[in-house]
Amino acid sequence: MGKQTLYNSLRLLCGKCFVVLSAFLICSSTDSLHAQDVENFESSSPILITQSDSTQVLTANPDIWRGTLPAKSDESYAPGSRVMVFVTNIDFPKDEAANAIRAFAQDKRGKNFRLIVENIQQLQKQDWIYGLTLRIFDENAYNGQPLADSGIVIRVSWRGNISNRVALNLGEPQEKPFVYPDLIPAPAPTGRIAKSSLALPLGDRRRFMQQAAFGPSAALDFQLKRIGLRRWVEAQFNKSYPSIPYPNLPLKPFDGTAGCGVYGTNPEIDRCHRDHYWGYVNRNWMTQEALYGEDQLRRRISWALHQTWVVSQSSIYQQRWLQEYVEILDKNAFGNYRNLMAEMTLSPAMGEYLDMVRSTRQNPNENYPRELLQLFSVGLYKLNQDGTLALDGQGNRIPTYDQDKIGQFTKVFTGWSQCNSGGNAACSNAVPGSPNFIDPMYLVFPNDHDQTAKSLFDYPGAPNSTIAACSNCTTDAARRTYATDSLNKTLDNIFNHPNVGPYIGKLMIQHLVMSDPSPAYVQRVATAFNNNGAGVRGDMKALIRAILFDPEARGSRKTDPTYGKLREPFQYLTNFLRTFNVRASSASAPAACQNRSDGVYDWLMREMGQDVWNPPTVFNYFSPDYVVPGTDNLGPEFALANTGTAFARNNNIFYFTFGNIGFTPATTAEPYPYVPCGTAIDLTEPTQWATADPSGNALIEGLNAKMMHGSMSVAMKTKLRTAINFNVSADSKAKQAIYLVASSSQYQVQK
Amino acid sequence: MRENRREFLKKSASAVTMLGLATQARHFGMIDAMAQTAEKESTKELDQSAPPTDYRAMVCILLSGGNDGNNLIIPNHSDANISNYASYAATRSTQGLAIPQNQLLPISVPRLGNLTYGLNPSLGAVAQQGGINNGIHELWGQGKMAIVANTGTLVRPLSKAQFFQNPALRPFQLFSHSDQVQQQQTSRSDSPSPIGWGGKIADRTNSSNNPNGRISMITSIAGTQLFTLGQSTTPLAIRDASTALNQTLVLASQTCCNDTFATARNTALAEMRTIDLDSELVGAASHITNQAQLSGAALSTFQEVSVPFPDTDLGRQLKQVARIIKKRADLTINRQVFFVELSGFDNHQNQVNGQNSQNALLAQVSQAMRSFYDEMGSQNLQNNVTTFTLSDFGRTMNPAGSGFGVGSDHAWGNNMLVLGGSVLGGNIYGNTRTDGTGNILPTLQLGGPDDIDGGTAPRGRWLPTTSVEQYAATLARWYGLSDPDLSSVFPNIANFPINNLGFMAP
Repeated sequence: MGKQTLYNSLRLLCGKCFVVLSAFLICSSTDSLHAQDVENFESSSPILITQSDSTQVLTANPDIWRGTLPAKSDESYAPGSRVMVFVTNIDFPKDEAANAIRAFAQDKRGKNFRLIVENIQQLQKQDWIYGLTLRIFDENAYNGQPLADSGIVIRVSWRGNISNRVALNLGEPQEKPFVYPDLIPAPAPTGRIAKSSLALPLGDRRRFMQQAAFGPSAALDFQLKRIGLRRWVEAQFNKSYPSIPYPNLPLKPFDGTAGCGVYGTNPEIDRCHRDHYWGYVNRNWMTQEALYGEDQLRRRISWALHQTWVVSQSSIYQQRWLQEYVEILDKNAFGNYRNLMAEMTLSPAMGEYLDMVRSTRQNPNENYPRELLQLFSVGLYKLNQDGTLALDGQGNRIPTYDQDKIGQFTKVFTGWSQCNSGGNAACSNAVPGSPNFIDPMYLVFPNDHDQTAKSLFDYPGAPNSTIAACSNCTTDAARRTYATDSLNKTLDNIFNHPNVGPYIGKLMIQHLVMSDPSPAYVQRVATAFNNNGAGVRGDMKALIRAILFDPEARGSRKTDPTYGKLREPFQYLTNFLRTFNVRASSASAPAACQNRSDGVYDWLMREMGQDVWNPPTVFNYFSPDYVVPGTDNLGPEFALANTGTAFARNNNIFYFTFGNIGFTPATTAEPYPYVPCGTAIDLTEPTQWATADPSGNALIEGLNAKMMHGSMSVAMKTKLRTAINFNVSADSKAKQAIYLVASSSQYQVQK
Repeated sequence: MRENRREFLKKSASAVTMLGLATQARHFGMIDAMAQTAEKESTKELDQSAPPTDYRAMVCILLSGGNDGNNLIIPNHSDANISNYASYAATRSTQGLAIPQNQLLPISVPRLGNLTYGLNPSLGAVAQQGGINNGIHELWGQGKMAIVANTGTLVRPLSKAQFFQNPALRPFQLFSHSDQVQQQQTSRSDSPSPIGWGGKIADRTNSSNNPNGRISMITSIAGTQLFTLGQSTTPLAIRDASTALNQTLVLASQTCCNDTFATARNTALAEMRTIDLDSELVGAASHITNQAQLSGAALSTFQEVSVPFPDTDLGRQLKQVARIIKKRADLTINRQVFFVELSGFDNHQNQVNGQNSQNALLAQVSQAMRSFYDEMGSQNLQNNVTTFTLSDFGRTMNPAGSGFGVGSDHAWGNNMLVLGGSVLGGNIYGNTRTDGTGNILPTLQLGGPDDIDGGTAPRGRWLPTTSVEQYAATLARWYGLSDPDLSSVFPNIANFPINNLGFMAP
């Protein structure tokens, strides 16, 4: 490589060092920015500084560093030791710390490692350069530790952008060190690297539509272009919901035969079973909301909250039961988390699902209080505000509670039951013969509530760390007052636990943006949860803004090798379908369909492992702690990825691309067909691209922009071009290309 | 155009195009070879002995949610020196959780002085489609089934006093589903781990026993679960027997058509999985799809099993396992691990009554295990296949609720079932307390010597006397894991006085 450096080689070698220039290369000449608010969410990519004449990273010993850039460093470092390297091209705000940076190593076997980032310090004189202290040690050690008999390559990432790769000597110096290909020198720049003055690229807006909505659509894209991202979010906060009315079917008895009659005896009865008891109506409503609703952000947050405060169709099987639960999620999606806790605790659906409805002083049931703490609020271990585990003096994790504490909390949640008692003013929605899943749970038998003292969480500043025994519980009214007051005090005690912000913040980031956020990102979101700026804790709007407008979320293209998330099956299909103007399967579908999809494709969802509203357990469709096999990265959605579901995903895209889900016309024998409208995508635009440009380039670039926000690699484009370079119709080319992109791993990972 | 999925599939049935597969195979094989080399370099513990020529398989049945072992095996005697039926009934009958003594299926337990115990009545014979399913109770008498008693997550042997004095010695997050079911699957309860003991066993035995790598050494009919993940092992995960084995992994794009345009599509599909691998998430997704591609080719033919299986969740899963075992010669594999799961054991309520009661689930377990055992017999593999259970944890001896809806809450030590021709069955196994007192089965007394529940109203959460690692290591040794490999797969096994509980024939 000689004297060629990173900077003067950029123009020559942009394919190889795309990481540095990614933000500049993807801008499209056909689009320009029209947003009235000029929003720039781009972050630069860090550059690791090398020695002036080699690809060896410039290093210093952090213990004796004098605060300046060393001229040269030939040292070899021992595994596990600390080393200081130097980074430029980042605007590192004062309030960010080392937990905003990730460092990676690769050894000659091709194994990847995550290194510990201990510290970051700005150089005093050359303030465009930062000294970064790393420890050459992988804490997870999934792949063990880097081989110490040869050099390694390292790189760092910040806000989802990766640096250049540089070499670092590790272990005993070798006579013939392993030579890594494609490394380029990046000597220290003499000043700040100038920012690009190019028009803002569009990738960020398209990325936003997969994070804040159920995928891009032409209409949503137009709105965002017109008013900008921030104003759209504020407008969503005030938008009415739901766009498609709640089905609102009346309550029925527990048993389907009692509620509808004997299944199989006539179409009306069969329809009654299907609609009231089988989840059909709620699944289709949810799918249609995701495909067509204008309350996209609320729906997206509500769906994420469903995957946190899980109940399942398997137990909450009646249409109205589940709907009432969804209404609580919807109502609180932009409200305060404390209120969500309160309403969900007294939700008859949750009460049924986690047994609180059966928990009495005489026979307490631990299920709800245990999951309330473990899954819905504080989690199992004490956390730092950046979501990492707080450790004790011996380096051990610290449990947030023990079994005794569970027993104490359990006492608080006794005595509540469904509001079935006739004539009670609190039970206005009760229907004789049917369990009341509409009114909140009520102390029908207040003497079932435990009236002894309870000892709750005790952390600095904890409200209500104890609840005294009831001193006046001689009447039902006094018992109800005591139980309600105890419940409120207990929820305050949980809600104010310092774990809640980082715990819920990280979960929500995982659902919206990425599986494995940096601790700095989690911390920024937790900070917003803890205080919305006006002294209010638990403000969901503040949480949502913090997640969506964080620099780690925003930007046109993310190049960190660990960035992104596997699309969960539900969103995999909604993103795909919305991108191509999803509609009914045929123009001859009944007029009532309004040429819209009926949202009926539940068998496809089951094949991919995510039956909508029917997670297998309270631990959701997948676990937030799931580690992607073969890596150090969290990847919750990968828990559903296996040989079987991999082909199911691929095949489902095939059916939608080369075929569709056809509607079934109503007949006298079958007046209520299961698929009344069907689902198909609209190939008009991609076919036009293929027609206009027989080379296929317009088609490929169009799909690149629409589906992959311009991030498609050159290699992938080449594969696509080969696959469509045939003498076939434009329509066939379009289908071939769409199928290949949509079924690729590159698209399945939302980045 | 009107075309539903079924019509589309029907219309498009044609030959599988195999183009692109060779590239895939090379790519996939190379990755595994690299992984194995790395494994060798990093552990230096690969078994160097000659590969075995016989066939052995372990089938893990996860009873998900926490099976109540207290209602699996019940004292059926009145001996006053050990918990008897009266002590069982004293804690459970008032609230309606005790099984009436006259319903118990009697078994004799040689290791407890030939006293009579009883199995849950759901484990008996029932009529099923195509004849009688005899259930697994009968196999106790035939010496093919054992119970490993009071087994649970442990880092080291623990006395009740130590449990209270030193919380650091406890497994982390006792009584939490997600943590405990993971510890059952990783076998270790001192720290979380991203890989399971099934996967780790496969890592160390794959190269010599699965030389052609046509499918993974581990097959799961219940998705990718921790048990099935190793350092270099990821499972073949397929649907249950309601899908024919050769239809479980079919790519519509390949079966639909075989013109040159379709061929180019499938080539591109395969080649796109070899690029953009710098993204670790893209690489992981592509790896899984590659594995599906290779496995689908390997499973393109199969023979149906000959024994009728119950058409239940677990029945269908075990039937699919039996189909794969029947293909073992074709797959050139002589060690296999399988994973199946039955959910619903988290019976905080309705444990006795109703469709999803423990009794109903255990009936399903019994009938599916029996069909599977008989099918192994018809495949002449009765001594070569061992089926065993794991579960999140046991449940409180003291019931939750009462009456028709009675249930029980999360606890700890539990009783496991092991079944197969190589099991030294008709007996119970496990350890006594650390000080040598007590019995292999816990003393069924709330607040008694085996109950670690504190407070004024202890509920009967048994301190395990046998660890999951001991249980697993005994199975792994039978499977063929060498001694050095045992200690690397089960890192805390050296904390325990024995690593072989003796329930497997050598």
